[in-house]
Order: sequence, then C-alpha cells, then structure tokens
Amino acid sequence: MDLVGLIEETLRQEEFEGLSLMLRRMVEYLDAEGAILWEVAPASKVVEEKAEGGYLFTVAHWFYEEQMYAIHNLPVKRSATGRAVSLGKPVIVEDVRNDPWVNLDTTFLERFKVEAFFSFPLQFHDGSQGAINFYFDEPLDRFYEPILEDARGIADLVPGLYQVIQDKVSFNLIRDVNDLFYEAGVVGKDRRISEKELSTVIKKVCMQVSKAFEAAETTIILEDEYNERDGFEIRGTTWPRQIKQSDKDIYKGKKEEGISGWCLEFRKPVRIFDLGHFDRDRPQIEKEYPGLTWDDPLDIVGQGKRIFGVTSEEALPPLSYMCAPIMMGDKTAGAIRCSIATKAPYYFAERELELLKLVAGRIGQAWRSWINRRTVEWENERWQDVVRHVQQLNTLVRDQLLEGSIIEEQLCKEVFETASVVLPDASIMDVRLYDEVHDCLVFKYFRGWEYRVDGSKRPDDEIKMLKRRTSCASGKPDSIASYAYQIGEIQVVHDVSNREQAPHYNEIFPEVRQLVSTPIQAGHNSFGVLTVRTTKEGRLPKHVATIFALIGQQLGLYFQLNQLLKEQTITYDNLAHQLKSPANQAFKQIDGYLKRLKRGKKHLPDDLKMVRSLCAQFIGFTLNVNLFAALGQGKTITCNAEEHTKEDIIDLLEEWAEENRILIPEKQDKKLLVRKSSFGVVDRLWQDNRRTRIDRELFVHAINNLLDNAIKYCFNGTLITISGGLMQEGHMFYTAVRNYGIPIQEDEVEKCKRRGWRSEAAWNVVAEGRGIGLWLVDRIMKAHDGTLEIIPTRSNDLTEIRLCFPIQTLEVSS
Amino acid sequence: MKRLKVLIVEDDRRQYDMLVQELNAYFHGLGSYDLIETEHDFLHNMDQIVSDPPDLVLVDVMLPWTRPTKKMPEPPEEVKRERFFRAGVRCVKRLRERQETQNIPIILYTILGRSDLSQDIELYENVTHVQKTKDWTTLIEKMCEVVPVLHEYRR
Repeated sequence: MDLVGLIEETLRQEEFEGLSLMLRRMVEYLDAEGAILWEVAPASKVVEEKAEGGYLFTVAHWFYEEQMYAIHNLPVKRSATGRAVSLGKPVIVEDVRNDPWVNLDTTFLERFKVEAFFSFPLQFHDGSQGAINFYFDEPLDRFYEPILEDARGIADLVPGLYQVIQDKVSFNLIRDVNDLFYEAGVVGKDRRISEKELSTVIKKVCMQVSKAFEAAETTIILEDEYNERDGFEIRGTTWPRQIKQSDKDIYKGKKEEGISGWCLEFRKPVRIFDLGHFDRDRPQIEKEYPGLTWDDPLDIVGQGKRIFGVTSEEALPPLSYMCAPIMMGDKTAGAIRCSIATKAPYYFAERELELLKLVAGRIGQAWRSWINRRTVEWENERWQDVVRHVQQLNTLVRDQLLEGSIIEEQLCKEVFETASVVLPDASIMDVRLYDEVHDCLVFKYFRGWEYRVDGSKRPDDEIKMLKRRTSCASGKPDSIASYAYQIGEIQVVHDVSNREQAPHYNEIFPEVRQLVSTPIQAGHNSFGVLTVRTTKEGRLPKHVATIFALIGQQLGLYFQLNQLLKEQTITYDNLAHQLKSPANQAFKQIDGYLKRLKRGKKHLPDDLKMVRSLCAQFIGFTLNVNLFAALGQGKTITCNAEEHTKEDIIDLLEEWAEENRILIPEKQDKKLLVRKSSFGVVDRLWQDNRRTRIDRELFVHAINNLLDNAIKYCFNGTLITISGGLMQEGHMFYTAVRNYGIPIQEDEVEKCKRRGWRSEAAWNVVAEGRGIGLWLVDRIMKAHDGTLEIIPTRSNDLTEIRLCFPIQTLEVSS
Repeated sequence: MKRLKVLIVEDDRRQYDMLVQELNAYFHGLGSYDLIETEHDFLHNMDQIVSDPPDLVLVDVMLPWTRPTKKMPEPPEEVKRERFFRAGVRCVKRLRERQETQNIPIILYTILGRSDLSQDIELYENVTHVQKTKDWTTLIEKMCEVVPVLHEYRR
C-alpha cells in the first residue's frame, strides 16, 4: 500500500480499533515486523516520583504475529522509548541485545522476534506525549537510512491521524447518543415516551458510551424530583454484575457516597487513573478532589481481575475511572461514569473525560426535554380534570342554591374528590373552618384514615366526625394549616420532616410525607383552610400549588355564597328598595298635605313636621348609601373635624332628637331625651384649654344611625337617652345613646361592628335595613381617631353605645 | 251596602295610617281596615281570620317576625332561614292552605318590583302585585279589579 492509501484507509476508520489498522498499514509500508503506539500515562505524581518520570502505556499495536501478550508498559526514564520521549528526538536501536537502553522484557522481544526498532517521539494535540515504535525482526544493517526516513515521515503523520480517529470517535459517539434519544422520541416528537421506554434508551446510551471508550462499566444516574424515591437513581448501567436493589442505586448527592457522590455534590468531573492504587495515591487525589472517599462498594478490583483474567492485584492494569456531572441549567440532574478501560492503554485520559462531558451535556438536554414534556402533560391532565371537577362543583352548588342552601358536607366531599384528582396519591384531607366564637379552626370535614391509640388504622368509611380538634386561628401558628390560614397564602411542603421547610408542622399523621394547605377565602373573607396530605416521598409538581390555590378560592366563593344566602347580605339593589320606602312616604305625605289643604283639614303643622322628618330620614339613608358605596370602593372617610362647644353639641342633638321623635309611632310609646346637663363636661374641657374636634355632618350621621337602632330595638314604653361624658381618665369625650331593648351579649360586641351582621334577636324585630349602621359608625369614629364603644346589655336590659372622641390640649402661648 | 273588611298586613304604622287616609278618601262607607303588623301576629290571628275571612287582603312583603319585647316568641325554622324578606309571601301561603281563605283576593302591596315576586305570584290563585309608589290610583284600580263590588263604594 502506498502512503496515500494508508492515509485514506486511516481516515475511513470510525473507532479506536482503526488505530491498529493504521499501524498495520504503516508496518506493511515499512516492511517492518510490527508497531506500537505509546503514550505517557497521566498517572499521579507519586507514581512518577517513584517510577522516575512515569510510564509509557501502549495505545495501539500491530504485529504480524497476532498474539495476546501481557500488559506491557515502559518506565520513561529507563527505556529506549522513554529516552526518545525525554530527548524529543528519535532513538534507533540497531540491535536490542546490545543497546543498554532497551528494557529487557525478554518475553516481548522473544515473542515478537524483535531484533531492532525505531522510536519516534510524538506530541499529541491535547498536549500529552508519546512515541511510535517500528520493530524489525532483523538487526538493522548499515544502510537503514532510507527506511529510517520513511519511518520518520510516517511518524510525523501519526499525531494528526490519531487525532482524526479520536475526533471521529467523539463525533460518532455524540451523534449516536443524539440519534438514540431522537429515535426513541425523547426529543423532537409530539408523543412523550413512557418511563420504561426512557430507561431502555438510557441503557442503550450506556452501551454506546461503553463501546466508544471500551469501558467495562458505564452508568447513568439521574434524579427525577417528582419521584417518590428521593435522590439520584441509577437509570442505566452496563455493569456486568447485577447491582443489588439497595441503597447503592440511590445517591443523595453527598461526597460521602463515594466518587459519584462527590461528583454530584460538587458538580465537577472526576478522573482517577487507577482505583487499584487508591490508597497509595490518596494524597494526590485529596489535593485534586478534597473530601473524596471511596471504599470499592461495587468491588471494582474483583471485577478487574475477572475481566483481565488475573488472580493477583499486582498483575492488574490500571483500573481507570471517570465521572462527569449531568446538568439541567444550573441544577444537577445526575452523573455519568465509566470504569475499567478494557483495551490499551487501559486508562482514561483527559481527552476521554472531555468527551464524557460532552455526552453528559447531551444527556442533560434530553432529560430536561423529557421532564418538561412530562410536567406539561401532567399539568394539562390535571387542569383538564380540575376544570371538569370545578364544573361539577358549580353545578352542585347551583342546584343546592336553588334548593335554598349549600350543603357543606356534600360540597367538601366533592372538593376532596377534586383534590384526589389533582394529587392521585393524596390520602388524608380535611377542611377546617373558622369558629368565631372560640377564635380557632375546627376540623369539620375529613377524608382519610387516622391511627387509633393502639397504632392500628381506622378505615376511611368509619370516620364520620373526629373528636373536636382545633388549630390556632390567631397568635402563634400551631400547624401548617394554621399558618396558611393566618397569612392567607397556600403552603406546599415537600418534606414534612424538614424543619426548615415546615417549621409549623405538627405530626398528627406519622406516615405523611408531603402536604398542601390552602386557605379557603373569597376576597378579604377567610372561612378556613383545606389541607391535603400524601404519604409518598418525592416532590409535588409545581402545578399543584396553582391548582390547589384555585380550589381554595373556589371553595371560599361557595362558602361566601352560602353565607350570603343565609344573611342575604345587602346589594345595591336591596339598598335601593330600602331607599324607596322613606322617599315614597315623603312624597305621599306631601301629596296628602296638598290634598288636605284642598279638603280643608286642620293638621297642617303636624303634616309639615312629618314631611320634614321623613326627608331627614331619607337623607340619613342617602348618607348611608353614599358612605357604604365609597367604602366599598376602597375610599376612606374624609373627616373635617372642628371644635365644638357644649351648646353646639346640645343644639345639634336636640334638633335630631326632635326629628326622630316624630317618626316614632305613637302606639309604641318610645321617648327620646337629651340629657343636656351631662354635656357640662365639654365646658370643663374648654376651661382647661382642651377641645374635642368633631366633623359635624359625620357626627350627625353617626348619631342618626345609633338612634335609628335604638328606636328599632328598644321595648315599647321605654326611654332612649342621649348623654355625654368623659372616659379614660379624661382623655376621651363620649356621646352615648342608651336604651332598654333586645340585648347585646358580650360576645356580640365586636360582631355588631361587622358589616351585615345582626344578632338573631335583631333579625326578628326588623323588616328593613341591612346591618350596616354600626359598621358605618365604627368607620366614622375611626376617621376621627376615636372609637365606637358598645357596652353589653346589663341585667336591667339597658344597652349603651358610645361615640368616643379624642381630646386635644391646646398649646398655651406665653 | 254591605260593610266590607279589608285586612292590611303592614309593619309601618305611618304607612298604614296614610293608606287608610287615602282609602277613606277614595271609598265611602267601605267598612273596616284591620291591621296586623308582624308575621307572628298574623300566625297568632290565623284562626280569627279563618273564622271571619276578610274581603280583601293587602300584604306588605317585608315584615318583622315580632316587636321587641322581653319575651319574644321563637320564630320557626322557615322564618330563621328566610328572614323577613318574604314574610308576606309566607302569610299568603298560609291563607291559601286553608279552604276558608283559599279564594280571598290578595294584593302584595310592596316596594319590591313584580320581577322580584313573579314566582310567588304565579304560585297562587288570585294573588296580584302593586308596587308602592306615590301614585295611589294604581292600587285603587287594582283593588276594584280584584273586588269588583268596590266600585260601588267609590266616591
């Protein structure tokens, strides 16, 4: 074969075995006996120090006598070939028997009938050093120069050709890995492949990598964060021995877990020249990879003996190892490792590690593609299910509304059903509702099982109602649900045992691993919290939080609808109805007055008074509506407070008392009285240069609401009084309305200030209004930096409500 | 002419007074205008109504259960659930449940609009609706329509 043919044939080679063919063509061209391509091994410095310069390992060889021979390496400093490498120039050994540099490996020399050889030093493209030797079966004669020149020319081609083969092998490997993923549908196709199909692909990738590197083992480790087997799992391996299903196939990503663990934790590639001498090389290894440990959990040394057919460790070639992290963006997805190079040079050099990193990158991309596609599919499936279930829920709620009320138990049962669709592994769920009487969250509806005291489980259908358990609704949260309710935000916990993630977790159910707690709320109204738990480990998909937050809001809406149904909370339409009544009456009265004028009746002054009072009541309603509308739009009450004397206040109150007296039906015999003397405190304030500042219009409006309530709720034949006073050791001025009527209990005091709230007793005696009066008054007082004080009804049926205003001291100028 | 009895179920005394004034202005010698002010009073007087049925019933829809007193009667579940909003309709239902009062003309006289009450009106025979406005003539016309003999009492 000529030189061109040699080059062409070499360029056609796709694998490392092609190096042998390249050497063969060279041997044929030179009419030699054989050739060896050498490389200085990237061994540890300790070895180099001991071995005086390191060792040359065979990368490839070819001899006419095709025989297997024992591992052959040469010390750099004590061999002819090493001398060529050290000097950087060819070494010619004319007669092996007479050259002092020849390493007297007689087995090799005799077996291959080597009498003479040329050794040419090489510099490879990755910076490593080596040599190519051509061996002859006769001593060189004096006229060997032509052959030497030919050999030199061929030797010069070797680094380039070697690099081409290496590049081809690298390219082919990456292409093959790409093709494997593409053909399997991991990337590029619409359908997502199953996990089983994915495992098959990964196994094939392992086999492909093993073949490319001629490695005994290639293993790919990957983490699926949504898998219950928490950690990095072995997804594929070519390890010849069956790895037992044990902790060994799950890595937590810690350096204590051996070389793979170190690689996972620090996200750095690792290359160990010879695991068989790990202890000897430990100092160097520790320098390069701090904290790395290894205790041969997979018996690599034993495996090496079997592969190479040796019985002693001394006869083993290097048991090389390399590992590269697999990344998804900046997140560690796993690792790929190779161990035991089974063919010459029997180790993994830096170039192999670089190629492994490229492969790792490709695997990372494919893994991310599969995970993302699966996540999207999961999400789509879950959202479709959720939409369907919410539609069913809406239908249920609508039907129940038509019946008159929502049945909470049935509603929650449906919600649990929806939750189990979103989270198929959910096993224990509950709805806790706020109990305003005790200010806590009470377990109301439940699905799942619970442990009896003796440790056995109670099956789901036995659970009707748990004993009364509670969670804190305010103050320090005593559970995740309590915390979620208080802050009004969904809580997703992937590991309840992790105290950092779940500081409020309290272990009612020992087998629970993950949970979601979402507040049940509609706007600013909170009703309780829904909690869903699973006993599976892993990580809940991201869409779970979004969907459960939606379910919590939907449930909140249903509870609010139910509440509105029960209370029939006011709408503007309802207010309009309320408004029409006094307006109509006022108009009718005026009509009546005009007609009576025509008819000559004699009650004109009373008629006029009545009209005026009705108009005042109408104005009061209008003010209520306007304030209600403004507050509903998020506006605040504007308070234009001014100083008022005692006379100002009394005149104002008497005028309004007069308006309201007329509106009290005579038959009810209810009296209004302004206790003028009680307002003497205002005089004393003025004397002390202290003032109470009040917005007149708002004050009138507040008083109007209080009197309106007093008239509605007081007993026939009783007295309603308006008086003034000081409280809080003279720091607040109050105007109080007292009446004898239906009681306000102590636990109802704060509720009275809530919009739309009425006690049961109050509901029974009114056919108008919507319970916004005290709510508005409370807001009016807050605008004054004052307070609305409701003093619960005493044993003599006396109720008192106070409008409390702050007092300011004027600065006296000197 | 025979003296007719009109039962007015209305919680607002002023409105009752005005209504009676106007009816007296339109009709002469009609008879009596009995007043019931609360739903509890209505139930309490049911036997009396049945034994001596009125010729016409004017019913306000929104009525309280009772007046504030120290010992208030406990309302039934239906009242607790529905509150005062349809108290008048419940009164109509009770009238229609009794044979003696099944056919008495009833006018729901309320500020609520017809659309608010269409379902209730359609449920029962001889129940109509007049919305409270400042114009009395609509009510008068409806009263004469459902009790034709009232024409004879018009001034």
